[in-house]
Amino acid sequence: MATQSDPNQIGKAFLQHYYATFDGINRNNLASLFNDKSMMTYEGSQHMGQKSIMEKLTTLQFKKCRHDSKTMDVQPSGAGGLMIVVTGDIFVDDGKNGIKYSEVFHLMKGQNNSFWIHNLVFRLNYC
Amino acid sequence: VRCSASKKHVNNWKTMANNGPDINQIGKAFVEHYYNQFDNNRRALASLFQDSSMLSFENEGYQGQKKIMEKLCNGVKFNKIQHVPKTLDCQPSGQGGLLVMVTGQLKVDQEKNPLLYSEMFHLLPTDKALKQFWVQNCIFRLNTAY
Repeated sequence: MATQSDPNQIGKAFLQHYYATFDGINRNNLASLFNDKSMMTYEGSQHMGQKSIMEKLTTLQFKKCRHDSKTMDVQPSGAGGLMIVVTGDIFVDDGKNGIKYSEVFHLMKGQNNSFWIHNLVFRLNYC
Repeated sequence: VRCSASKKHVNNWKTMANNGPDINQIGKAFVEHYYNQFDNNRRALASLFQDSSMLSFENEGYQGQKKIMEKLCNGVKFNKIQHVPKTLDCQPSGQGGLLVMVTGQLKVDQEKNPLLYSEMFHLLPTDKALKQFWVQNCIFRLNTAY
């Protein structure tokens, strides 16, 4: 992913790529976004490092998944990082009703002007 | 509050530095303090923000203590607000700071049904003792259409 100077453009491009890959045929392709320092908390389950994170993301308890993101907020986090907060609906398997979710990504600049995920937090939103 | 610090996983990043303070405790204490002030003594939040602090509040962006406090004290449409956090997730942000993600309910004015919200804080320590933090980034979103 090339770096552009506008954080909103970067955020939008990143999310499009992330969710298309997550929802698509080969979720394993997310692996290059994570490294040993990456941290993920997925509905309370904590994982550190690319291996543990990808193990979790490829063994979630649904077969089909579609993220329908509704809002995106991007802020620089300092030291070249970007904070992205997304809210939207997630549809799993053949469910008609989406479940509300929020997700935080903290992206850091890597080599070749690309970004990698330093922090990821995912939560479903229900009472 | 559903915390992500289950005993099994808590050692992954319990400490920000070796043998440092427990980040889950820091996050919990911060959130309790922030919402207590927000709901009951909003002006007292000012000390948590600095010139470089950023707030995104329902699609509007504000930078700096002054503009942020103006929004929070005078620009929020509800008069009475009570935050009821339900989930709390904390991670070190890799910049010496703490990323805190909250989801929960917002009881506003006379509304019978609480609204759902999510809020992300990126906290930085004011000193090496890691006892006080300020808010570098804050992003607030309602999850219920209002």
